[in-house]
Amino acid sequence: MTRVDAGDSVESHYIEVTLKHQLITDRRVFVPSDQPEALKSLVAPIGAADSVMKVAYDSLSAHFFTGTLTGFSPDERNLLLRFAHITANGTRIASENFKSINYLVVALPPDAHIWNNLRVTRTERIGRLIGDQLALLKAFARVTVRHDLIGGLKLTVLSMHGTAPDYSDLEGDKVEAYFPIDALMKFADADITSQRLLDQSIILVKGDRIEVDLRTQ
Amino acid sequence: MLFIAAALIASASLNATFALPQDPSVGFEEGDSVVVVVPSRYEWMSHTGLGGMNTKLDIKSRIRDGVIEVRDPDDSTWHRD
Repeated sequence: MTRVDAGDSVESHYIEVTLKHQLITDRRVFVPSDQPEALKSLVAPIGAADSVMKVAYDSLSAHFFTGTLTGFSPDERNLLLRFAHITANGTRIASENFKSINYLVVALPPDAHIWNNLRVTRTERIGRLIGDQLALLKAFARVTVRHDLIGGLKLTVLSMHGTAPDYSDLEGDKVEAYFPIDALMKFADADITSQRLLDQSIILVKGDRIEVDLRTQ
Repeated sequence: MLFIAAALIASASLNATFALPQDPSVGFEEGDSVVVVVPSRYEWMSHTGLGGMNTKLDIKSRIRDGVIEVRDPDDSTWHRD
């Protein structure tokens, strides 16, 4: 096929491969028509999935586990990457030092719900958003890695909301939630409630700290 | 402050369908399940079809100096890391 791309002034020739994923989602991979080998670097048979993922994880490890994070063993690195990628379905991974604690930062896909401002308050909306992640938080507490290097988990997600019926004021609130590992371990061991976990954590919405009351849900 | 961002790998079992005029070898065939290894931030999302219900996630790639590069849809720059 031929197409002119943004930033280009001339028509280019491409091989297009359409990959069917779910009923209404297609991934289309474009490579120059004279470089079919480029496809082999991006798309591999399912039988090669393990080796492909190992190469990908090794590449991510080299970029991510730097500085103090080099203290993690190869197994620990793999556990953290698998947690962020597979368990959390994260779209980005990072680390951040916040209030003297190193957090593993995982960006989650945007909240699938678009909340109606007329029916759901911000406190309820964020409470439901965080409440949906409790299983993920327990899963992180069970990832056996050194806690002196990563002392908590930070989740970031966009919470979409607007006013029905046309949602012309649709807006995405950036939610940043910091969960210290001590509180996560106690919650996973049923020593504290989910409410107590949130009380010991820091929840920011558009940069402002808020209090989340799960009892209002 | 340590803040290292790295895009995660998107992988999925997919069914590939393709028809190429010259039928070059790409390592898989129509109907095969495959994995895609591209950071999801490099996917360009568009919607087609009735009511925009069909989602297209486009990835553009090339090889330069023997190294695979992927185009960033936000600024059209090529990335090889």
